[in-house]
Amino acid sequence: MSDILLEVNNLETSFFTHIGEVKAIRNVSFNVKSGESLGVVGESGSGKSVTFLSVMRLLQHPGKVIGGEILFNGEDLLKKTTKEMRRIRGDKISMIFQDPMTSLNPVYTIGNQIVEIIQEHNNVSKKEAKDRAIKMLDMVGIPSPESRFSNYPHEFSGGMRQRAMIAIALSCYPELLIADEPTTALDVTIQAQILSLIKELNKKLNMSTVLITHDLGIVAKVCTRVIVMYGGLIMEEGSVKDIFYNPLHPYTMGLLKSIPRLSSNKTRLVPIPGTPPDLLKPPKGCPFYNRCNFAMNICKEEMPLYYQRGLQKAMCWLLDEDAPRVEEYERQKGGVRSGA
Amino acid sequence: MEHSERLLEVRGLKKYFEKRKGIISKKVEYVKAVDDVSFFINKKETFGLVGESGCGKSTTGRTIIRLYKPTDGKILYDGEDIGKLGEKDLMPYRKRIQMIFQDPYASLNARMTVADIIGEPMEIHNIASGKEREERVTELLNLVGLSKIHASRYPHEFSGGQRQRIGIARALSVNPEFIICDEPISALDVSIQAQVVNMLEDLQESFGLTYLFIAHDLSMVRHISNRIGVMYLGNLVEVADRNELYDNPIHPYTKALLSSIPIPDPELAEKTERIILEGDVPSPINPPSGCKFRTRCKYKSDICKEVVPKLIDVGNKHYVACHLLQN
Repeated sequence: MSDILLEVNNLETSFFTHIGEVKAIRNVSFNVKSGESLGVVGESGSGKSVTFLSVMRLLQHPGKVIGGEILFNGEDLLKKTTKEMRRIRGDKISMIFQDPMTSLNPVYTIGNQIVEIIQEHNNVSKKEAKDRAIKMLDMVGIPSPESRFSNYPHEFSGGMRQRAMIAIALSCYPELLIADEPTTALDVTIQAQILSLIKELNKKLNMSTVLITHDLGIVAKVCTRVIVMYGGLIMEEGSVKDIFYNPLHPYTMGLLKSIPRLSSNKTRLVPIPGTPPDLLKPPKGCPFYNRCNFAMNICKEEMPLYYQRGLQKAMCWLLDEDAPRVEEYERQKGGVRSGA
Repeated sequence: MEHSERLLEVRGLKKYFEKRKGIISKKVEYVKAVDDVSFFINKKETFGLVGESGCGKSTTGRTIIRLYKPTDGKILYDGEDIGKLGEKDLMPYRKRIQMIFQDPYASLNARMTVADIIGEPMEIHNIASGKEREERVTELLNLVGLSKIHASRYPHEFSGGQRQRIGIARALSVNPEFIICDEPISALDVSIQAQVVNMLEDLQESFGLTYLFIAHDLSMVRHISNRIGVMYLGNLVEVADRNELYDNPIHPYTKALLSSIPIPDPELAEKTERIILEGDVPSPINPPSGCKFRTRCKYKSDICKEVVPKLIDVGNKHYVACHLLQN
């Protein structure tokens, strides 16, 4: 037990909209080990954000968790009362979001917002809370934190706001930090600053990090393990090297091929044809079926099983021992190395 | 590129936005969005413009297509300065220059059918109407990978990638020769981005189009462009051929920018060292004197504070604006 911090089993989340039930998460299981940095990649609508909003119990109406369990340190978060969850959020598990401007309260100073969290979860005096808040601002690299303490969010630039968000999230030294597209709204040079900060703090505070992103470059830089999501399901899971150098799922292969390489010869990009499935009426079989180059009859009819290869697993019929050997598929298993 | 026949040349382009303070409009300050930018684009090539948000790359594009009136400078399109033309004289150029926008949700009128969205420019420019227009809409839809059945639908019935295709079909409806692509793929998912980029390349090939490709995704810009210009706070700091720029960047800002591209290869990412820039981009209202990058540059010296560096030819069609080259 000791090693696993968060364990999600058979999670199912749906949105009950007026046009029907959107099955955003369909039977998702994974875990986060303590101290690791897990990357979650996928396209918009693949369910990566919804999975972690479910974990945080922050889903808004009409979203609802309809099945499964979320064990954090062995306790099921889905069985906690609202009050108990409030004690966990911000203290044990923190989350930062894509847009730092809408996540900060514009009418309170940055300092106030950090102090609030610290006092909510710890029995400390205002003075102590303030000292700790300034220390946090300093840790995330905000220059002259004493004077910045009493600034309002609008006085901060985008990169500094995201740093402030991180300071708030880390102010109670959480065991798990969930970062949902933390750098998407930022410029590349600022993105580099924030990512190296998250990576550094992950080591320094020995907390687990979950990084939700659509950018494979970020995953390669920051994460140790990766989950690839598509159509509300986990398609593949493995170490960062497995995913990039030995992908097993055609979707992962497709993602790797569709991004431009930084090489000097001009090659044509290989897009994944078609569009993601409509989760109002999710397909019976593999959700990637209609976009997959290697699709077989069984893929349309039956949901593939997970096949384990060492620490790596993928949900694809091609990995079945009875599956035909497809040369092109075998070739692309080299991932980025094979120039796939 | 084969021999350089220039389609567009921008000389000393400036675009300042007035910023008024208080209710009684007293002109107080100017936002110098584009401040003395010069470059040219050859026929049938793709010129990439990169930079961080607020560097003026979109304003440059929008000023060239005359959505904004330039504050100063020349926009020579096929030899004629279109920077000062009135609306009426601009009409023929509106047909020759078209634009594709970043946000496929905001750039299509939600109350018009696809047929009307694509057909309207043809009516305005007297290219086709009635049955002919209808045929041409179908033709254009096929060209961008959609079909006739989509013509009577409304934008909300389409996904982001499909909407971007409609935007491209609209731009193509008047047979333009020059298309300004302002972040055409940033709002799309990775797997869809490649579809749209490939299509843009095919269309360029078949219609001999010239592109100005504005983006902040440096790896995609490298993929699609022939030549690339790097902007910082309203200035062009470096211009070169794509491979020359990425293999041999000279300006300290370009170096930092290129090194911060996340590399989708874990071993390579581990090996490459990132140059992490300190601080943020200063405000374009009160930009630093001299070289605008000096506040974040670790090689700055006294001259950077006083003199604005000019773009210098360093050979191999590579231009850099930095005082380091003086010595």
